[in-house]
Amino acid sequence: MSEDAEIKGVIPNYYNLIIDKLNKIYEAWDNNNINIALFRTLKLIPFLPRKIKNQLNPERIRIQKDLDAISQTNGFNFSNAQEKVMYKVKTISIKEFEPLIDKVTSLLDQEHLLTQNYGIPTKSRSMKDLQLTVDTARQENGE
Amino acid sequence: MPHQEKSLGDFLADAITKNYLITIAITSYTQAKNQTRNLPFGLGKTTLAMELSYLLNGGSISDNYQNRNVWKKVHEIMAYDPYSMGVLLEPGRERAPNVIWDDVQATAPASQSVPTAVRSLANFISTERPECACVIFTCPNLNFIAAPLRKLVNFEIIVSERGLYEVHKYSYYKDFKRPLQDRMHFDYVEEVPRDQPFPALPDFEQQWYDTWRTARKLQLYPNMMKNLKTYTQLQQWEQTGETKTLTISGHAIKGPHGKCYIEVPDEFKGKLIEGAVTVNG
Repeated sequence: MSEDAEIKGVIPNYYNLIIDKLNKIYEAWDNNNINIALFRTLKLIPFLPRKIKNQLNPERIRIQKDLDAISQTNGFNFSNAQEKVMYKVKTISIKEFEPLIDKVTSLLDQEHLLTQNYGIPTKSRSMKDLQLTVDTARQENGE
Repeated sequence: MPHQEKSLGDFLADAITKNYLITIAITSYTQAKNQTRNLPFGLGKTTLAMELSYLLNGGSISDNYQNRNVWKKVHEIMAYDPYSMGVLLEPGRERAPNVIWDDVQATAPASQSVPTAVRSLANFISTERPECACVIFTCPNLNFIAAPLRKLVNFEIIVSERGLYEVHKYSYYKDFKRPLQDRMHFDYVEEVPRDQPFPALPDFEQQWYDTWRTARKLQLYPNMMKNLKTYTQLQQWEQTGETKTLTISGHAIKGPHGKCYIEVPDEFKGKLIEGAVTVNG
């Protein structure tokens, strides 16, 4: 037992990934980078469990199409075009981000992916199961 | 937090049928996954240890823990002190599914200098695979027991409240940057469902346990009282500054340069050095 062992990090698992990405989305929003927050949310959706992803996909595709359409915006020079794009992106982000992230977190919560004891699924096994396992192994062993 | 795929039952079955040795500590004073009562005593650690032993020794839940023949077997594999634990682990005897060392903190507590006898017992337990498949300790908290015994523990069963427990496994992982310092993890294994708690001991068994524990405690009591008496007397002497003359007999040892030494009882050694006790004659 190495008593002065340091914690170097957390063993990665799927739940940690989700919490990490949600944290990054929150940080972006908190820093007034709502565009980045929206992009990060859109990028997270394909990684969610199929059941949640299927519910969110129509919305994701719609927002993505709107954003793609903005990229065609013209201006009298490059800088002006970029400004227009950024303005339109921000308009979409302000309109779409909050309802989208609300839906994402609600669905994650419905599937107990946010509150499941740091991602450990509870494994309930009674003493009867324990007895059955031991007895079966003994029988197989010819005892 | 990683978790184990195998259940405690799988590990116990492997230990019994495939010749492994596992060590389980049953505790109650530390919270892990579930909210606990955080109480050191009275939550049912020994009850759980005995009921697990009942199942491992051929008993069944369907008989409602009433088979007295199985309980007799359980009684034979229970120890309360290091000596009786040593007796249970006699080499060459028939392999037992498990042994129980109850209230380890009472007889092998955590201390700065762990007695050599306890160290040697811990070393001996590590070689007990041919005689025993599973060693079960009960103690309020792993920090309460001597370090050599603590290092043997593979599984910790935490009794969070009466009837409920959760199982965790201690696992070690190699730190490749510092290969001599392994990283330790506490892996969640399983827990008992809230609607199927482990029951209290049958009345006759509870009576047996109470009597058994009283008898074991009575064996420890005289020595403790002797030490307490000497300690208290010395404290009182210090406070009053009273001088008393004691006649102590001890072995005389012939030393070098024509000197002679007398062995002083342990309780006076410290006081002799501090000058609280002087030797005349």
